[in-house]
Amino acid sequence: MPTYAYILVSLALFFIGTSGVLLRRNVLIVLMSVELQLAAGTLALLAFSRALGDQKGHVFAVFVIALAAAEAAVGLAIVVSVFRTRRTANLDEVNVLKG
Amino acid sequence: MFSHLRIIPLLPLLGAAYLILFGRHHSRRVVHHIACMAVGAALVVSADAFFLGLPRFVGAGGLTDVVGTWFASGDLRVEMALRMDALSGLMCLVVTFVGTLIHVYSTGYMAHDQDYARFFAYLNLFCGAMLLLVLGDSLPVMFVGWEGVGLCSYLLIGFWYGETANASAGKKAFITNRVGDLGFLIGMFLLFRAVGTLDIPALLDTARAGSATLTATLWWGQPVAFWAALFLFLGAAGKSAQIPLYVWLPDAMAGPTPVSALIHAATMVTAGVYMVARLGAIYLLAPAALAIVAGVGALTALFAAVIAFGQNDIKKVLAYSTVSQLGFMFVGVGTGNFAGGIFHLFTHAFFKAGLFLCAGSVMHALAGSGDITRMGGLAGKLPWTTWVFRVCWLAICGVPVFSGFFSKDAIVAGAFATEVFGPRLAWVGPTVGAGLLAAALGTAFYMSRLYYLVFTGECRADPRAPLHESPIEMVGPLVGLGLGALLAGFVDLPSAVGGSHGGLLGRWLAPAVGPALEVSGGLEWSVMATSTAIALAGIGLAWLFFGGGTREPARRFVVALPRLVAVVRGKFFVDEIYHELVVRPLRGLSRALFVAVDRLLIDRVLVGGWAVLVDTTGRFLRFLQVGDVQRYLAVFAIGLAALVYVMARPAAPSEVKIRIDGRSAVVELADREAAAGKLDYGFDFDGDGREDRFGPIPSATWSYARPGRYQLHIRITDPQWSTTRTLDRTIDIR
Repeated sequence: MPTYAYILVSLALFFIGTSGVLLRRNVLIVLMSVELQLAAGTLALLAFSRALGDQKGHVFAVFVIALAAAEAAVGLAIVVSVFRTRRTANLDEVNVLKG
Repeated sequence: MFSHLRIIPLLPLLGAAYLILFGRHHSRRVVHHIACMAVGAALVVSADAFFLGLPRFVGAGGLTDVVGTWFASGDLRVEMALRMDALSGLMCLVVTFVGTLIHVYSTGYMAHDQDYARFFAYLNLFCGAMLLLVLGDSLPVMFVGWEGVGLCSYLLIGFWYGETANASAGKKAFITNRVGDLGFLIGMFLLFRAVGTLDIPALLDTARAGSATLTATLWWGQPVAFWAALFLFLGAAGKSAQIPLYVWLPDAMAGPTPVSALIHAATMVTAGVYMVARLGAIYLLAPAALAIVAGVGALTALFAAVIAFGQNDIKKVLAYSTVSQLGFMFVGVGTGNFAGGIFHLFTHAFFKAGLFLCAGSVMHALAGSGDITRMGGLAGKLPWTTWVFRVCWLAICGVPVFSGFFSKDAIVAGAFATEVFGPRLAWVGPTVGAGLLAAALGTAFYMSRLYYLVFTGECRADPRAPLHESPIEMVGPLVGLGLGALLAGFVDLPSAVGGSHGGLLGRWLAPAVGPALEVSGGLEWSVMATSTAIALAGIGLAWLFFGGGTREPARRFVVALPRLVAVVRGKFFVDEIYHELVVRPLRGLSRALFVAVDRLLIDRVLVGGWAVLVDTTGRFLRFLQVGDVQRYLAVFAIGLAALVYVMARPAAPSEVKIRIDGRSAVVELADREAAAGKLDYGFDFDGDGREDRFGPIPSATWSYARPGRYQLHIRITDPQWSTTRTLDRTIDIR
């Protein structure tokens, strides 16, 4: 398959992820959307890596996966903590930091 | 050559510095020992320089001491230089001698005051500043002393600052003097612009040579010398309390009496006279300025004497008397009779300081009251004070043999004999002379009134007052000054009474201020006779009115002319007139500026405006801070998209310039977007699909083999973003 096909998929994934991050209200869904964005980035890296015949892209893809795991751990920990104190996982209701 | 003149002002200045810093920690004994020793030592050093060092050099401009260059800027170079010549040496001696006596007197007078150390610190500071003023060899150095004595005057007038009246009297003195100081500065600037130096000897040499720099017309047909002299005289009028700036001196009596004696009678207020005498050569170039000096002096002498008639405070009478006597001195220097003016300054320092110290002694005995209507009959109670007062009184009245007689006559005779005014202004001399004779009558009258009301008749004082003669440390200086008042006149006897030509003082001062005025023997005799008659008439008239207390004629006079008496008692309402003409408009202006500029422009707009701006902006911006993470992210995403667009958008179209020269074509791209070297260019001149020229340079040249029409393809590549743009043009070669 040509590279642009991968890139198109990557773009689609990224926009779906972004929409989820921006529009969904549930923290868990937002976190999952972030994972989608990261997956889109990983896909783009791998596609270009294949197109250019360069293994560096693979290396970075592994890094991104590791990063995503760490992010998920920290994010979930925050979500749990927020839920414990505020009894909600709804982002609309977590808005104390305002002027 | 004696080159340690700097010690003279330095001693009191060091004393002042020490007392200000550490005076509080010492006992009164230590404080006054330090203060008196500092001035006493300055007296010894001055006397040493004056009597032992100076006589050999007096003809050669005196002794000098250059401490170093004070500042240099462009053409202006000011040395921190001191000079003791015949004139400044005499002043130096007067200042340190009277200063020492008054320091000693103060140890008694101020014995019970709380701020003992502060008082002596200021007094020392004053002596230092005054000596700097006197010895300064250039106008800026003189000005430092000039301002220094003004500062001390302010500090000491308001010494008892607990009472508002005293503090405002200090402010009045200071502010009035600022007006004069402005004149001094302008005079200084004019002299510098004309002559290019501020060193007094250089200025005087220029003036004596009659240099065109000083005689050139400046404004309104008058020469530079006139304007410089006039503005300097404004300074002198401020410092020496002449019309129109005399109003501060009577109020200055709010200070302790030794201060009145030292600063506001004997030394500081004579600085103006000294300055005019010092710069006499400049004044001699401008007879009109001299006439103004003499006229103002005579007018002040007469005016202040009249005001003194109606004053009931012992110090106020003496203050107006000082203003009047300073007027005499200005007539002396204003008629070119510099030696005469300085002579009167010299004798006045003794008898007026003596009178003030007597007044202080009287007030000391009456627990601080200076109201002469509540005195009387003190002669028996205060024998020493009375005797000294009598001597000084006769001296200021101008009774023969006493010092004031000789010095006053020297001025009056000089006024009649002077020829400095030239033919057109010749009337000035006799006019001011006649004015002075009238003022002398007034002087004799008000001084005798003071004497009779204070020392003769029934005692009207509060019977509970602790009437006693003052302690020895007060009486001692009194006697010293009394002897001075008695004998000081003999330093300059008129030639008619055995003094050789010009008198001792006149001859001594000649190198500094020019030869003494020539007065014919006949004139001298007639002036002496007239002034003696006038003095006795004044004393007799006062006896008639006030001998042994206020008498019937005085009461009848008050009843007969109530308006006149009210005007004189009200000091001609000069203070009130100034208040209406100067103070109130100034206050109104200040108030308007305060409201318009300070409150509205600065407070509201410039200071408050920023607060309002920030506050309002914040009010609107806070709607962006809703605390909703997703909204922040949306904004972030939009911003990021915009950033990416800006950075990745295609480069702007370039301008293509094609020059055809024969068969060769030069193509230049004016690329405004990217700096040279960032982009890669390719040129296909003949449209065959191969680039003929390429590289990072946005121009290329190509020679065609044949004429014809060619397609030009230009490629512009941005290697960073791998974007490529192409431009097509047509080239016609003939």
